[in-house]
Amino acid sequence: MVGVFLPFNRLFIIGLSILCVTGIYGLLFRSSVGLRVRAVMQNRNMSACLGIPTRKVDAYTFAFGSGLAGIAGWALTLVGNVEPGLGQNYIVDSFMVVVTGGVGKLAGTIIASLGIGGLNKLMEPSLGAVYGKVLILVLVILFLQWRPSGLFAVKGRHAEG
Amino acid sequence: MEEPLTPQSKVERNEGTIFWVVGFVLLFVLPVLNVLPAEDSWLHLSDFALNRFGKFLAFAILALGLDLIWGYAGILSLGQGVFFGLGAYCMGMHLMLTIGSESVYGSALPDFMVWNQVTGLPFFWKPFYSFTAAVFAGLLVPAAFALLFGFLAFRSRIRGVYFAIITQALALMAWLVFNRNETNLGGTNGLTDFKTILGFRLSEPGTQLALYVITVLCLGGAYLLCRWIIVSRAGRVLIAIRDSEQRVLFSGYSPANYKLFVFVVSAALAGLAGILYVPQVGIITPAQMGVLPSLEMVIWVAVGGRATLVGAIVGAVGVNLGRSLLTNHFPELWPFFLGGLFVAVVLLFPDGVMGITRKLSEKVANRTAPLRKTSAVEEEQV
Repeated sequence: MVGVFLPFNRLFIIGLSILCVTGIYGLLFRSSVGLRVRAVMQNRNMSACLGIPTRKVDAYTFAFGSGLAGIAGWALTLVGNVEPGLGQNYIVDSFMVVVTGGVGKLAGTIIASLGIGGLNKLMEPSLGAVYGKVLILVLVILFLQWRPSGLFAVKGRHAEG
Repeated sequence: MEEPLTPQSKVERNEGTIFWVVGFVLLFVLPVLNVLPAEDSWLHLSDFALNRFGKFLAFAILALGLDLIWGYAGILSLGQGVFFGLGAYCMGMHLMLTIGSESVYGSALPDFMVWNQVTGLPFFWKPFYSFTAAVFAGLLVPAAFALLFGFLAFRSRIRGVYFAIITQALALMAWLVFNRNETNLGGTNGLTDFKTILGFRLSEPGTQLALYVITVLCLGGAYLLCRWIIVSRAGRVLIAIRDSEQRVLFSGYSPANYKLFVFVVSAALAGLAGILYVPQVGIITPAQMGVLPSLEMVIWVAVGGRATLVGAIVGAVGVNLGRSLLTNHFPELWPFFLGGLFVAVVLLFPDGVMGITRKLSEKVANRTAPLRKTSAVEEEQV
């Protein structure tokens, strides 16, 4: 492809993301810790009855998630500038990715992040950064009309939908 | 008398009396203290203090609306700042147009349009020549926006954390759009440098006093409206939605319609707060409607106590008064104080200030009348 330029630091970030996602997959879906995390997420009361320390699981999951955010921040320093308000630019984007993908679904998060990120960059040249973002929000809201719990909803007899 | 749904504190039981006492103090005592005593008397309330207080009371109107949806219906909206901003901008646009040729450049157009080289007044500014139209727009534009947004959100059963996130995204988008110059809303600088309202000079203390009185009356009205909604049958359904939305759904009610109604009411109240805020503070910028102010509004309600209307007012006035005092005396401490306050509320007083009063009056009741308490418990068991 002509004009495609892949600097090493961006390749490194892509590699790092793949590594992290693989790690998270292993931890969440291939280990006993992950089993507990998923159990607490799906049915807190039942997990507590079966002897899972739900509060501890909450605390560890939160700590793990915060650590992952730290890795993301570490990768960001390679492509952007560092300032105290750095995280604010990503709060809404990352929340929207999770909502679109479906809470608690790794595949959904991956596809939604690639989709939203890619779409954003595709629209930026023609619409500008601000209206591109606004359009993304509108698209996400419309998308949720069609699939209220994201791309990959947790299946089951949930009235929560 | 109907049984209350939640245990009530002394403050809540005597809400009627307190309403009139506080109303009397706000409506008569404070303005009299402002007008009558001599400037150097310790009783004298400065024009500045009264004006600040009017601003806090405008925020209290917004807090009432937020408490209605968050405290009673259990919908956490992180986008109340948007509705506040919409109301404020409607009023701000009217005040900009009344400046007329008094502006810095002497043009009939607002100053920022002159320096952005806008030659004619954009079409959506034109209705705002009329004061009545501006007030109605300040209430109806946020309400209509909430109706559309809420319709889409509640219809597809977006709730809980999803709804909070979507409304936060909304706040960010609104902030981004209002910051742009080409939307002709003043960009980052916002709307400011207002001169008159309905022909009265905004710089006159008398005008500010009148605005303060109007704010107090609006707050009283908003309180009565919220109170009326809560004690009505619809209010019961809202509380039921908060406690178990599925059960409400399976009982044959449509939670989406009730939620939409209360969301629209809260948006209109936020708009009203914005309308009252602008002439008293004299400036509205996108910074007042973004993600952070919207979060702070949630903190007011949490500090005051969710699901108590009095708590929302206490929280909004208390936190802002605290901010005003602390930023005056220790400017560096304010962020730590706000953060610490929220942590303290979450860890120590999950029911906020009103929760503390409730606990205190329970303790007093236990000490003074242990016999009555036990008999009440026995009655329940029968």
